[in-house]
Amino acid sequence: MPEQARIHYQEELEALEVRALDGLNLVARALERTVEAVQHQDTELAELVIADDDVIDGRYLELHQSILTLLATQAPVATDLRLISAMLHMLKNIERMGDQCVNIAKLIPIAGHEPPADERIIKNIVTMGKQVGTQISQAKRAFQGRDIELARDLVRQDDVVDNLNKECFHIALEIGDDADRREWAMTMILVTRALERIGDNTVDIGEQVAFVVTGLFREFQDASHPGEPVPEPQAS
Amino acid sequence: MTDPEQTQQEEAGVGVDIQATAQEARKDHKPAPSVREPIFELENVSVFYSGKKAVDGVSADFYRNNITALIGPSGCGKSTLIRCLNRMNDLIPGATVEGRIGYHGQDLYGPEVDPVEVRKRIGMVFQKPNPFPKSVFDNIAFGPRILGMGDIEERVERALSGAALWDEIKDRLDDNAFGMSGGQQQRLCIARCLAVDPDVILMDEPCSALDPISTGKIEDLMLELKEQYSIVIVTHNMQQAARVSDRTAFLIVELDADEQNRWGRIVEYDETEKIFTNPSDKRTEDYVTGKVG
Repeated sequence: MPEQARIHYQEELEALEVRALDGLNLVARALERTVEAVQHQDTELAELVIADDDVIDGRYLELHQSILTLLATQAPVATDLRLISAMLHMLKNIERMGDQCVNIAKLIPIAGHEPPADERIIKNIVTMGKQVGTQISQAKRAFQGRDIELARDLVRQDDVVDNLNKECFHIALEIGDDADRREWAMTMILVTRALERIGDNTVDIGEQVAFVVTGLFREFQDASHPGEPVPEPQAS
Repeated sequence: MTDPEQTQQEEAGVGVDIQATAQEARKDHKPAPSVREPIFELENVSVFYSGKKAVDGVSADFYRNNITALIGPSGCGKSTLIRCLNRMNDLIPGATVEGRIGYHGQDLYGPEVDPVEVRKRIGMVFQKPNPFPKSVFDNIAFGPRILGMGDIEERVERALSGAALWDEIKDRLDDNAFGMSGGQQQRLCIARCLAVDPDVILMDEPCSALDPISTGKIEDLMLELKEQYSIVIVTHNMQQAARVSDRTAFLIVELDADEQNRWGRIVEYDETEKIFTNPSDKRTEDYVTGKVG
């Protein structure tokens, strides 16, 4: 019988994946705090989100270096190579999602101490935050389990976020003539836009799951040709 | 016992009255074709040593102006298989080949085929450089002289240039080849193949005894040579296969029920890029990623 080999390398690769997926936990926590800060106009919590982004950036840099070392020293191929490529993409997604949380956190002081908030927009932002948090968790499970179906389902999940984003935009358009209220609403549009982008990043991670499993990269939704069917990659 | 002089001649790829056929083989040469042209067609090829199976049922086409790599664990029959392609196994008592190996459409093992002629058109480079104990010039000139080829000096220069050795060695042509470095000796052996106008070059682990710089030079040379020749290489170095080859065949060792007999078999043969990024067979995946040896 063939003997198992390169056990140390396999353990190293597995440990890298665990650390990379844990990066999604960091983002989920940052997102939770960000939405809570928006909901309660909590500038201190917002500052904590900004400060803690260094942890996410640090994780990105640490894993990026580890992956370069692994590429240089172990010359991974086949599924291992696809996994590493997917992890590099995912790490960039993680770093970008962390940055979007920071973008939101920086808007909180701008919105003012006791802003003329519209409950409908705040409620939608909280719902969006929960939904995007669910998607981050789902992307992680899909990656861990190499589950293409769960990954593809992220597109359906993300529609919820997209629709809430559009709804907030329409509410902002009709918010009335009060200048402060309009300014606040415009600021919240930037918040919902950032949340919508985080949702998109979870779909991107789902696409990487399909790449790891099938070896084919295809966007689940082609943004430049909306509405057109995208062929499903099949597991080989 | 094998006559050493005869072996030397056979390894140098010399035979009788073959200049015309060699020229014929080369005259319609074209650079890498857009449509693949099979140069070898293996149909259910099995190899036996004294009745014991060493390679089982290989069917595959190897293509012109391609580098085809044979990879697999020790004992999987890749060296046995490559030695079938120029009938080197004929030199081993008790070795028999079943199935059909087509070469340019003709049966390589047909009764009318002269194995010496075959080895001239299909040269071989071995794991350990094996220059003759002669001068650099005489090493290259050995085959052409026996074959009665003209323009020996020009032929030697062309062969050494083709093997990327001319500039390094042109002032030392009278020196004994044993004084060259290992990498130079291996390129000398490649030049010796080129001197008799081959069609195919077989390489059996040509870099395993070389340092990384010499290995890099041989790999660069292979990529240049494939524009004119077809190359089949056996290598234990999977990164080498990934770096230089167009197509890769992965062979495994199979055992019979009582694990007394073992033989090699191809489990996957595909574009090298496919083998190293998304192989179809789990056994290939496990081998190229190094999970099993």
